[in-house]
Amino acid sequence: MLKVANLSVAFDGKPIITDLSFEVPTATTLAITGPSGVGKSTVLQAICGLVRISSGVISVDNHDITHVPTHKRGIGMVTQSNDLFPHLTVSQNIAFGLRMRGVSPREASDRVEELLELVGLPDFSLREIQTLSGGEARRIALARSLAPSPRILLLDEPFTGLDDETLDVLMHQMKSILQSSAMTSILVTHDYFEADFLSSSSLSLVP
Amino acid sequence: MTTRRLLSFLPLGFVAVFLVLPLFNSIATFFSASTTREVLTDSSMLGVLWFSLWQATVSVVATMVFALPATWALSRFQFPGARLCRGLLTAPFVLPSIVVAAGVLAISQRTGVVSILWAHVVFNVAVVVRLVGPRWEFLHPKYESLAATMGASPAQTFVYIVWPNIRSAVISATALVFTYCFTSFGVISIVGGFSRRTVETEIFTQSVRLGNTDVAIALAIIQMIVVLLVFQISRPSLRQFSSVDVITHPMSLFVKPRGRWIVLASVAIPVIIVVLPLSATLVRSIAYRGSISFHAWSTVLGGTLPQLTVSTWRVIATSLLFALAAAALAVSLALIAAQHMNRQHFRYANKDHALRFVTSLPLVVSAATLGLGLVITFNRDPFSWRSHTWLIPVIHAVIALPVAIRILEPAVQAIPSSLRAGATTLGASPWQTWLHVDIPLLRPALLRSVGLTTAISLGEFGATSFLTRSDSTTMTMAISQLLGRPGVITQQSGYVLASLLILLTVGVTSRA
Repeated sequence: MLKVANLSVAFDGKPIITDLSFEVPTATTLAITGPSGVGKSTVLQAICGLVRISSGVISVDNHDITHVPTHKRGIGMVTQSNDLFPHLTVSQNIAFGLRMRGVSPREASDRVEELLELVGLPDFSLREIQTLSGGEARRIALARSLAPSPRILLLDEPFTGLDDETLDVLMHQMKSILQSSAMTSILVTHDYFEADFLSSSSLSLVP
Repeated sequence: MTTRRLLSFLPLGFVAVFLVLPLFNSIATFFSASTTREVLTDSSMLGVLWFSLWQATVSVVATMVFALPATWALSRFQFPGARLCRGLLTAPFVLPSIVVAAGVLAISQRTGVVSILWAHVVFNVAVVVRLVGPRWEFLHPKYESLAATMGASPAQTFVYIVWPNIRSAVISATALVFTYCFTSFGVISIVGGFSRRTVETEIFTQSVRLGNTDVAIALAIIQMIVVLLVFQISRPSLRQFSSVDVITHPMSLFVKPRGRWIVLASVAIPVIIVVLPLSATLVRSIAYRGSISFHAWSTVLGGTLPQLTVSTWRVIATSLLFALAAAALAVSLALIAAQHMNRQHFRYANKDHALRFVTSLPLVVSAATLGLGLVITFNRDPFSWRSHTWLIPVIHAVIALPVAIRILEPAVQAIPSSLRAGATTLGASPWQTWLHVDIPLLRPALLRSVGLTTAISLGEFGATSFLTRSDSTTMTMAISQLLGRPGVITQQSGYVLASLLILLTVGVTSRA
């Protein structure tokens, strides 16, 4: 279970999030909704340790991770801009997190194949990042964040910028992956339909 | 204090020890107000100062006359050979000034003002094309077409549309060209002759040949004040980037048949001016008074440099070794500085300029002033390093550091922070993120900075003149000595070595 208690974040003295508390039970998805600029993405960045928090406690399965460095938290993230490494191929991107943990190349390769299968792009391992379409890149980003088997997955507007057909396929695929892997996750979106479809509970942030 | 913060002190400390300390120490030891007054009232010295300013100003004007039309043509039109012409015009930027000067001497066969101006134009056209060209290309031609539809003549379009967009780049280029020419050492030494003295060569003569260190220091201070004034006056306006949002494609030259010859001439004339001296270096190494002989080549490649006590291979090996050491040092320090500046960019938003300021100092201090400061400062125990060979590549690294930083800093900034964040969320430690994300993405910039810093070291002449000994003679020093001595084979050997230096420099920078 992910527990966020009394979280506050400020940039240059200006409060962005004030005293926010919520819980995400294991193997469920929480949707965070709200208008642009309300601090939805900042909540995710705070949970994985990418922004410094002013106060509050973040814990996973009753372990306080508030001061644990990002790379040791075991929290994966998919962003709306994908942020795939342009100098690496598809398979190297997916294997990145495994490589950082010292997983053997053979084991990593098997996991990459498994994940490519999971996201529906089985023959993409040698493809260059620049040749991917928006939908394909989003699926590879999802596979990459799943590769190191994170305890929690954060999805920051993962369907933004996709055409209707790709969006429909990807949402169903995402739901199936989250359910089959019993993943604890948070979905940030401003689309209430996406929130309803994927999440078991929701939290609405207001300015 | 974090390791990162500690690392940021490395480039700062490096420049402080090998540039700031020698500079302040030499000024503190030898500065004399009365000597400075004498220098400023002595007619001979005033002549030197006047000639330095005069030749630098005329060099700037001559450079702009040839470089701006070429930049316009290359930025605005597409034609067969345009890429080659751009390459030929920008190549001298990385060539040693002494080689360019030797090339001009090979054609003009005489020293004097015309040769000085020609060498400066060859060297500096590249600066203008490189600085102004990209800005001109960024200005979308649609703005010029729009102005024309509103009744603006070509001249009005230039004044009201083009000039505001390229002004800051032209001013920056003017300041740089003026500074290069005002502090030019290699060119003046080779083609200036005995009668043409500038502040830079006079610093060397007064300190090394005549032993008047106080006069040399007074001249160095005057020179630094002039350079600082030029940089201060030319500080570009920050509001100059209004229409850089679109990268434009040059239009085909053949859509405008009437102006075709003007465009081609704008490029062809500067190309001839630039290429002629460089090819003359090669020609002069095999031709003398109508006859062709490869004797100088066989002498030099056989290992002998006439009238010098060192062998060809020793000189080349020394230059290469110094260049590689200088490049390794300068690029490592530049990488640390660039990454620290990038971090400050986000976190401290320009609150701390110390690193940027100190690492820019080598641009303001001339090579001769630096050499003089080193000789004065590192002459006493426990810092009696002036005769140590390692000091030469270290000083080359000091001189190359600002260039390496200027290549790496934009490249570091161009890496989206989200990629680093992504790597961290995938379990990469800061060190792993740097090694597996930053370094691979910085590879082209790293290669480019290694190439350019190697070229700077290979061509460095001013500061090396103060420090070199017979066992550490570099290629530039050997070229200068060979060209300055009588004898056909000796002089031709100088041109052979200059040709080899051109090949080496082009070799190390071709992939940069």
